[in-house]
Amino acid sequence: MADTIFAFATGEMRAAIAVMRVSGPAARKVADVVAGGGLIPRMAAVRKLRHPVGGDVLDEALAIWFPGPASFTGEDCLELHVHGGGGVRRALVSALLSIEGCRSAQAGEFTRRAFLNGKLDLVQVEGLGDLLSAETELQRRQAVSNFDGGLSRQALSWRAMLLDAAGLIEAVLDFADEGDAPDDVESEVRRILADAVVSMERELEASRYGELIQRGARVVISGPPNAGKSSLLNALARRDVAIVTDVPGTTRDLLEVRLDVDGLEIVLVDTAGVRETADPVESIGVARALAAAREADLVVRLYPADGPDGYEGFEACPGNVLPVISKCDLLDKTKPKHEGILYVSTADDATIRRLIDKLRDHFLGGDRDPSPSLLTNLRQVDCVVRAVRNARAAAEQDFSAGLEIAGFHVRGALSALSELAGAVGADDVLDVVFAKFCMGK
Amino acid sequence: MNAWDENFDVIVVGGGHAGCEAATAAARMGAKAALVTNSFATVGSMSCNPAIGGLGKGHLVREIDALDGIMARMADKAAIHYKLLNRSKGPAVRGPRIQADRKLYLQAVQAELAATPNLTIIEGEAAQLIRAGKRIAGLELSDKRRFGCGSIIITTGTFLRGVIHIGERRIPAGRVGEAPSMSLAASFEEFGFELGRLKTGTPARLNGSTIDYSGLEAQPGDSEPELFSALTGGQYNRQVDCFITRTTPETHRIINENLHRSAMYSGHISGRGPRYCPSIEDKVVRFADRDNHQIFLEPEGLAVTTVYPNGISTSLPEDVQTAYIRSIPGLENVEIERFGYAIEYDYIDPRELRPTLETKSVTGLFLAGQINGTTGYEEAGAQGVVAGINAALCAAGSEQVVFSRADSYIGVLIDDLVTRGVSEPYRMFTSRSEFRLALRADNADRRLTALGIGIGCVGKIRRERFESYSSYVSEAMELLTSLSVTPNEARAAGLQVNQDGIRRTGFELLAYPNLDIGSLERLWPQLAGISPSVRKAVENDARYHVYLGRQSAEIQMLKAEESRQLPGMVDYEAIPGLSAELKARLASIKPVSLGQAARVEGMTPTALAILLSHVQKSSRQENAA
Repeated sequence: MADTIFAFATGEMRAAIAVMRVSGPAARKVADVVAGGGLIPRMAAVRKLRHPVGGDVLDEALAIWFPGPASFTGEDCLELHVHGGGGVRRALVSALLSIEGCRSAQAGEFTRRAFLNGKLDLVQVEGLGDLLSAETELQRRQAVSNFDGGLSRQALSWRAMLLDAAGLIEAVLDFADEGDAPDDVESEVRRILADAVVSMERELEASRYGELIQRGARVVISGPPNAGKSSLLNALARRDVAIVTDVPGTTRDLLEVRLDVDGLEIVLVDTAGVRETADPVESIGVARALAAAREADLVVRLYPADGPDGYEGFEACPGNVLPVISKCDLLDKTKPKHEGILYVSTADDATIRRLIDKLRDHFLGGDRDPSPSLLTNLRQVDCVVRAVRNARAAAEQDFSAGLEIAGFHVRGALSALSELAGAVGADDVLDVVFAKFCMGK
Repeated sequence: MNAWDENFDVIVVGGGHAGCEAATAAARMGAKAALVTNSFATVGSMSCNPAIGGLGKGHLVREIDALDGIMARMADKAAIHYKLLNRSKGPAVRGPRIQADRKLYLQAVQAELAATPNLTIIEGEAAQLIRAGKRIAGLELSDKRRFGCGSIIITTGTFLRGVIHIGERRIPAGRVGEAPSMSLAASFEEFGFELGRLKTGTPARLNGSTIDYSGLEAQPGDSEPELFSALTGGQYNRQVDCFITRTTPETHRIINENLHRSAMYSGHISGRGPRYCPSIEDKVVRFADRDNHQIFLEPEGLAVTTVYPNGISTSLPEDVQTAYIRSIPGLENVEIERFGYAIEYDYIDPRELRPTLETKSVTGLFLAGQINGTTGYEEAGAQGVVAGINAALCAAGSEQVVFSRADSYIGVLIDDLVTRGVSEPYRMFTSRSEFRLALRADNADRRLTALGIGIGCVGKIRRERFESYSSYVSEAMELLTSLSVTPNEARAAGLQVNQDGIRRTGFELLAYPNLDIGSLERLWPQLAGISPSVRKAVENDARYHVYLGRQSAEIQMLKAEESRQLPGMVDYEAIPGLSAELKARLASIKPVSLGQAARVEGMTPTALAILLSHVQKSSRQENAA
């Protein structure tokens, strides 16, 4: 059965509406599971979209079901018109990827299927060539800029590792009768596969996209006791979740609030005020606060306006710490304001909204600090995840009885990386074999 | 002018492995066929090593057999040493191989050709191809005889402007003692084909009665021979051993000191040689840290003492060959019967071919074998079968056939050639197939024989045998799928399976490498009736079943794309959005299908979509006009 492919027909641009197109045998499952089913062919219907894992509502969308063969590609197709925010779009992609047989489409793949099924005349053929050539130009520029970049270097190094593994395996399989073939490559292949998996997983872990979409962004609110952390949390959540008093050290445990900012789930964590304390209960809270801050994607560091003037050094805050002056309504209005620091007061709704904007920009903004991960979009994450899965499957094989199956998986891993590092052909593998061994009778 | 001495449907030029398969395949198709050779006495010669098969190559021979070709049957008739390579590894990478008695092989091939109905043998030198417009019309021999034909297959191997190099000596020849073909090369140039130059080499031949085997390691053949052909009932000849020896530091010293006298190292040869079949000079230079290289001493026959020392092909002069060969253990007093040499020859860029092996520019002209840049008897024979089938179809005005990468190594071979061209002589490896687990030596008949029956190249005997065999396989498959057990029941019968509570069919149980039909008989005694060859087929299918399922989407897509034809005349320059390199490559390859276009080097999904939309647009405009 063919894969089911999906892509935003509206491209990567941000707009009020994004149109997701799904084509292939699993489109019906997407219609049933994500869009709730019961769609009438070619009739638009409003549907709550749900994540297949956990059932969370992703968005309220317009869904249209085009059963094959009377569809754009000739296959079963589903169109989902969702809100255009980055978070909704990402959540939808994550939901689709969790359905078996679904993957994101390569450029031009819908057209290719339409052509195969004799449907290309449904397309505005005249315009398509121009559109695609524009797309190619864009891709070419992206490819060129990527080529010098860290990702392509990293992907090429994974490719080289996996090619080495493939070459060693093929040297044994394809040259068994040719005297100087190696007898045992198992330990070397296993070492290479393990190294490649470790390196790829490290990159996946560092990838904010992969992680963020799965579990949401963790934002820890920190600051000295009575800096207004809990009040801020309440203001952000617009409901009373933390006990707020004026006695320093009231919050002794972590409290979590989940916010939906443009579809991205932001988990706000209120922490115990960080200070030296003799109270055993409070000291546990402090320890947890420090641990939470270490695991956070972002720390909102509060400097209370009525506290000691400790915020002078805020410019030195690292990239994952957002300095904020809280209780700014208590400030001496005559003093000049600092540039580049956010002033917030729970009494002033506009300042709270500015903070939310700032959070959104931090996680979803286009040109924030370069991501610590080289993997900057879901497609790339998807490639590396598949490569890891295949490399692991190869390593699980019994090399004496199933070396050709290990080879099958290594090939799968290389093919998963092909979009990042270029396709691998039989000759690339043979090049490795001939470079390493004196083959041939 | 157009008075022909005789008319044929298909003429085959050349009596090597490609020519013999091509001529017999065309004849099996019912075409009136002729094979033109300089000398019938040399037809069926094994010009290089006396072995057939191996990894990838053994797969090809089984595929030739599945299409009712001759190579596998001939190999069985001449086999004096059977070896199934990778016997201990998975079934997909096991390759049958034999050592042949050179003379028995040649005799078997000549007898086969002589007994083939519809086939005429013509002795003479092919001199000139005759065209009528863009179509082939006939062939003129150097003695001025002229034969008309519907289609023609050129299988001249290394004869096209062949030059043999031994040290500094250069001898124009197609093989030792046989004149090269010069005028035919001119014909090709006149037709505007791209010619390139390749080289290959062969070692000296030794007098086996002067070899001291006492200290050498014997390599016996398999005690249970894996016969090549489905039609062979049993072993024909007595089996003999091969022996293994090794080069010494002294050998390497002699070679190093005389490198400047090697034809290859002194710059006499421009053609590129194969990396997987390096000369001993290459091995010594490129792997300088090794102090020995393995040599297989392969007997060339039962009645002759000639031995083929596999692993030391060379273009060094005779005195150096004698010196280094005698520095090898066991060969201290050896007599050399014939010296090794390198041979350089013209090949035609295979991107000039359609996947049917017909040239794109001349209708009815087919090329097969080494002339297309390949090496090896098996690669040549495989192309011969395809060219023979298609030349017969072409002569009859019928639609030709294309073998898919998804179905056969034959498909892989031809697609690689016509899509990617060659930079060194092309040899088959199992790693060249992306569907290796599906393309096994053991299932070649189930992959191809039904197809061959449909094409019309399979005779009655094989058809009947295949039909009964494949019905036994399906029955066994159905039986094993209908039987199932729980893990507990399996354990009670002494079978190790995952204790996960999942009910498994007999077929699913066979996916466990430690289980075979024999072990399942404990659960189901009714399996005892399944014959050994059927067992093997079902067990191997079951072993890879889950992986094959994963590849089926890929195979489906490949086949769908291959069935989409692209028009022959596309102005690639006029397509916006394709890179200049890709345009140039497409213009030279002229892909015939969407599938082939997708495999052109540098093709991206977007570029493919652009190509499609362009092709669609032009065909619309044509329809409208």
